[in-house]
Amino acid sequence: MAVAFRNQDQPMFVFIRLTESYVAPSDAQLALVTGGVRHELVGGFIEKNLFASRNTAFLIENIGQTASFSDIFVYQQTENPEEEIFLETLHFHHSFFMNFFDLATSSDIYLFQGHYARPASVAVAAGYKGDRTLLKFWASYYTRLLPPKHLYVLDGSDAQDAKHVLSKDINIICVPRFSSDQLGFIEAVNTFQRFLLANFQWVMQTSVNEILLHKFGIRQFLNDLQTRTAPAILLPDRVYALTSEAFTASGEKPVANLPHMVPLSASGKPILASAPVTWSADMQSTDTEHADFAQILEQHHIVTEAGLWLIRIVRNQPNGFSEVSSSTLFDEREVKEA
Amino acid sequence: MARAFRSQDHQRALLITFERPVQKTEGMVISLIRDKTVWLLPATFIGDSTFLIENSQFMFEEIVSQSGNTLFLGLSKDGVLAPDSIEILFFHNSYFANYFDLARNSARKNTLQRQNLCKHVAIFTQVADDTALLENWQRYYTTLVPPDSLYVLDYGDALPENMLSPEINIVKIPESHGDERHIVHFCSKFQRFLLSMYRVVVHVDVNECLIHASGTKQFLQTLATEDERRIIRPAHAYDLLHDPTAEAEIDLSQPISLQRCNVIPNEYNKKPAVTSAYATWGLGFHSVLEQAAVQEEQDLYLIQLAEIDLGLAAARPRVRTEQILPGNEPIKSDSDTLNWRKEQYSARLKDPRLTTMPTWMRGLF
Repeated sequence: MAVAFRNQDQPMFVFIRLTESYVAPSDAQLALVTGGVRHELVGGFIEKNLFASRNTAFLIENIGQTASFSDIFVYQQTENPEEEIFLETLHFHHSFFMNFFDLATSSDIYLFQGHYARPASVAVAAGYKGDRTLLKFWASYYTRLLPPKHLYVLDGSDAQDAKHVLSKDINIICVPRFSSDQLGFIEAVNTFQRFLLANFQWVMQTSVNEILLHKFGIRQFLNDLQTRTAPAILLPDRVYALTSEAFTASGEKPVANLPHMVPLSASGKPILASAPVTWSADMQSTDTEHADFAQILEQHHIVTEAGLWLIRIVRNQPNGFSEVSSSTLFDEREVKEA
Repeated sequence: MARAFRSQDHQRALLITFERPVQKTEGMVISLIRDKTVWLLPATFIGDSTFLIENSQFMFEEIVSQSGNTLFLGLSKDGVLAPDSIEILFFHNSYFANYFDLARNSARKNTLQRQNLCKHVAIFTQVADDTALLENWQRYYTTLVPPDSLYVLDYGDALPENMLSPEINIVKIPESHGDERHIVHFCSKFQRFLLSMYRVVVHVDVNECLIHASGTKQFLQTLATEDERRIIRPAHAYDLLHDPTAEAEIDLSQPISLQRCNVIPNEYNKKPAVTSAYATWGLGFHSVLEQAAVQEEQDLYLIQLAEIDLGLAAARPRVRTEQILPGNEPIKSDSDTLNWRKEQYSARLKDPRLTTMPTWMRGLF
């Protein structure tokens, strides 16, 4: 059997050592196959039978988690994409998983009988970085869908002022200020999501400028989630930007004002999860309200949910939708209308 | 090479398969070998050179997590390791499938980089319907950390409004009907969340005071400057006991330690409460699965206040563990509860281990 391991000096690499019985050409590439799905590894042989894979996107960890109790097979790729050579099954040295091992990840350790029944269905969490108006908008939308005590605001604003903006019924927890400690903010969001998953079947991780809709009614959709027991990470199938003009265009509810909703070409974020989600930092983005929630590490567990729409409120800027400026805040009247 | 794996039927237990054929032999145990140390692990032979290890306390993971080097497995009989049975140990992905968390890795790296950004000490507790001692908890622990570093997990939805300072973080979570397993599970998760922001996280029940003989605040502050990540339990634990025949009803607006003096040692309450490493608590917070990280602090005391007043105890709902453990009597009526408590206190006061609270503790809580 092939063995995957890590070297502490090169944490971004995973090494796969093949048994001596297979002598792969030095320029050969490897693929891992589990559940009939093939994943090509990025890397090459650095010595006889030792393949080094640059594992920046945690591909091999994703494959390991997807495989769960099934086997993972190592294939050698050939020039002909139709032809692959099976080499052997993959196993792991403990150095591969030691840094990721956490006994509390599984509630089985407490000997829950069968599946652990979380006491409630859906929580909504939001990272807040200082836009009070959007925060009020967010709260007004989600309190129409869920009890306020099932809403959680992680206040990473410089002023840490969410407590002064929202009703006491909504949970507000101060976390590291995003502007000075972005990694800390994201780490807090990630660990808090796991805490919520100990109490709720599903956790919706939003930014305060994001609302979730469903083609056939979001309330019904959220109710129906209770019947889904398999762990899942759901991606909306459509993402729209809702400009501030939509708020002022008419007396209608803004989300019904479809002409002002602009489809975004960027893929949406996986917003609802019944499994742990690890957000990674995207420090390049200038959109501070959701820059940190651009990507998750558990990419291979994402499922697109048909009919689920993510609406992102975007400040109306002359040059597009990516800039946020404090000078273009909505006024209170607009928020109340929304 | 031997391989360790789990099956869907055995998510806690481990299965070990040796490469070379192994026959069932009476008295044979698995030997896990790391460097020059050998651990003997009771195992059941289930055929096909495969053994089942119950692994009820996650001892296997404990040993593996301490090891940077290669691990070996062998077979021993009557304490003697058969040299020709030794095989190098590798793991199937099923071994870690349920215990693998990508956020864990980022937490380790970020925390190292972020040491100067993290705040020092957070203290948290959880409450349901028993809030009588919550104000006392607030009063004591705000002497150790700022109120915004105190966290109360409210899982009973019965916390009176404005009972606590608005600066204290109250996090409401859904009611879970007092399920002890659920409580330790969400507290272990919350500990990880707090460790993303604080260097030291303390968990105590609402009726527990953690006291260090050299100054608790100083002790925690010093701990927060250490690089070493560990879990600390007190070397001493006492139950503070009301003597209804000699001591008046408790006045919770005044320091409790000036109103009570009888204490009984309680070994069971040497809880691993002070953490700078991930802790996965067992029922009642009396132990953690990460035993290798636990150290005992000689000058640290845990004083439990559950029995500081007979009337208060009688008014309190029976302890949840008493309700869920099989074979326990059903909850009694109020008068029965008072009589039961009286008998309990009377018996406790006759305990030969009964002693007096150290003088230096008086006035601290």
